[in-house]
Amino acid sequence: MNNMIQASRCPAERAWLFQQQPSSLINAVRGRESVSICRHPSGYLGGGQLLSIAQSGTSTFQSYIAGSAGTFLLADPAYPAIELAAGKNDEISDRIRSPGWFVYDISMWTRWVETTKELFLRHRVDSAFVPSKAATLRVERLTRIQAVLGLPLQVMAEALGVSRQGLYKWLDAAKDIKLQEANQQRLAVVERLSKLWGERSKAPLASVIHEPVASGRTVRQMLTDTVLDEVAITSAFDELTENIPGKPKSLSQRMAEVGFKRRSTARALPSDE
Amino acid sequence: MQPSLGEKIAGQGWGAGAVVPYDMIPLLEPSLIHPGGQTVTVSENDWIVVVSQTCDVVAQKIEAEPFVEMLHCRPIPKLRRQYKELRSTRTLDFKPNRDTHDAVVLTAHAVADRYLVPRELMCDHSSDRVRHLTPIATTRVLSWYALRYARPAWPDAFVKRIRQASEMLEVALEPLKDDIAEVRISIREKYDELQDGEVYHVAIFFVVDEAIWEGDVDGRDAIHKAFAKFVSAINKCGGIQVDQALSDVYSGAVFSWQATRSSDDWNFANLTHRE
Repeated sequence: MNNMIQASRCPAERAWLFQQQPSSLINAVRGRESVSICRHPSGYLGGGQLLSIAQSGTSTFQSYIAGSAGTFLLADPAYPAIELAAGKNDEISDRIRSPGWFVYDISMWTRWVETTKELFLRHRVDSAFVPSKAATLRVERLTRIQAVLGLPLQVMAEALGVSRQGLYKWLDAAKDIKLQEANQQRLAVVERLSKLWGERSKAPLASVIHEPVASGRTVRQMLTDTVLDEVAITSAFDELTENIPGKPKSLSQRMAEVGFKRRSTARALPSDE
Repeated sequence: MQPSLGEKIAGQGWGAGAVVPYDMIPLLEPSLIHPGGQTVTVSENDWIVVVSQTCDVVAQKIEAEPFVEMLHCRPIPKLRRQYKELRSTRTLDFKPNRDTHDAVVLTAHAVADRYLVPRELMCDHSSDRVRHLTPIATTRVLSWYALRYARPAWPDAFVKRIRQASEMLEVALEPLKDDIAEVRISIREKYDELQDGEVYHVAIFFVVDEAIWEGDVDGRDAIHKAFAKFVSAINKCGGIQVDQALSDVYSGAVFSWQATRSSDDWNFANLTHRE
């Protein structure tokens, strides 16, 4: 790192770089490839490895790998910015054909520090996210239940006997949480119920959860009981399944039936790869 | 009866995605000029692509649409991750035509490579008969421009925090590529550049296509998994707090127009304005 940072030129606000392990910074920036063009600042304050020097007329162009900032083409300050921006010179434009080719007025050093800091923070986030198998399985079970039942998170949390905040933690695969025995049992029951509903309907239970069944109660109420009565809930499922076809159709369903369909977004375009 | 200007132009094959043949480039040279008067050099492998909407290109009267917008695209060896598929609102890497030019990858800058060309030049010259964008590529380029001007401007400080987890967020949203759900985010401090130590409050909404919501359990499963991953990633960003009472997966039939107006469409291009 010594040849990449000139400590004497480093202002206090950027001193955080020196507080990091060089290996951490290198890991963070490894593999990041970007090319930018800068007019040569009054003094090149970054470091980096000199790749090549190109001569064009009276101007000199130097190509550097400057760590996280990627490859930089440094132009002689005497070279007119407009020509650089236009990539007029073939020799230059051949080198810089593809990248985002702006003339930056900020110094290489400033950009290097900013980019490195951002990549370092991002790398720290990335490397912190390695879910365990148990956490992955927990989240998969929960999301499958959500998919089948379609319950709002608040109702789902109540059904599982946890707070909404608690459910958020359960849904975060980065969190290694050991579920208490009671939680595990409750989760297993709700999971069984979701499978039973899934066998009866592809529509989410949420669409009929507030409808009272013969007992006068709703499934929403039954799911929040201290002890889940699986027989009663399953029986309610049977009743509700019969009601689903009779439910009034939504506006968009009626529109789709007569051919008014939603427009695809740019996201739906097939990949260029 | 004489054909109108628009009919003549349409007859020459012009429209969105049409390409200027190389032998026509000298005619365009007075229009291909950078600020300051420098003429743009166009090499034989470059593609000058029409990016105006076809209805504007073939407008009947010249005064209705005096110019056609064109984009100077240059070939590059391969697609770059940060510029492909509308990930940047400044630079786009794309394949113009996988049927006729599968190996060709082009790049262009939204503003630095865009030019206005007088429309009457197109009356007497046909578009390139060999090179043209496919409808998909044309839609991609036009969507790119639409995104550039329609995207919400998020505070720099917010973008900086989000970008820490941008790769995880991308991975989380991978299953939604088939347009089965839309990700929306509401930022309470959307106009404020917050200092370190101050927190952005956000609500995250995954809005599901009604047909998926009502009848596709596996589709909903993928969406719920994506939601869990996405929120988990946002939670890793320092200085951003997810509103747990509001954030959720919603059916498109339920998420209202009002809620749509109170939230922004999530797009990775929204994170590119600091580049």
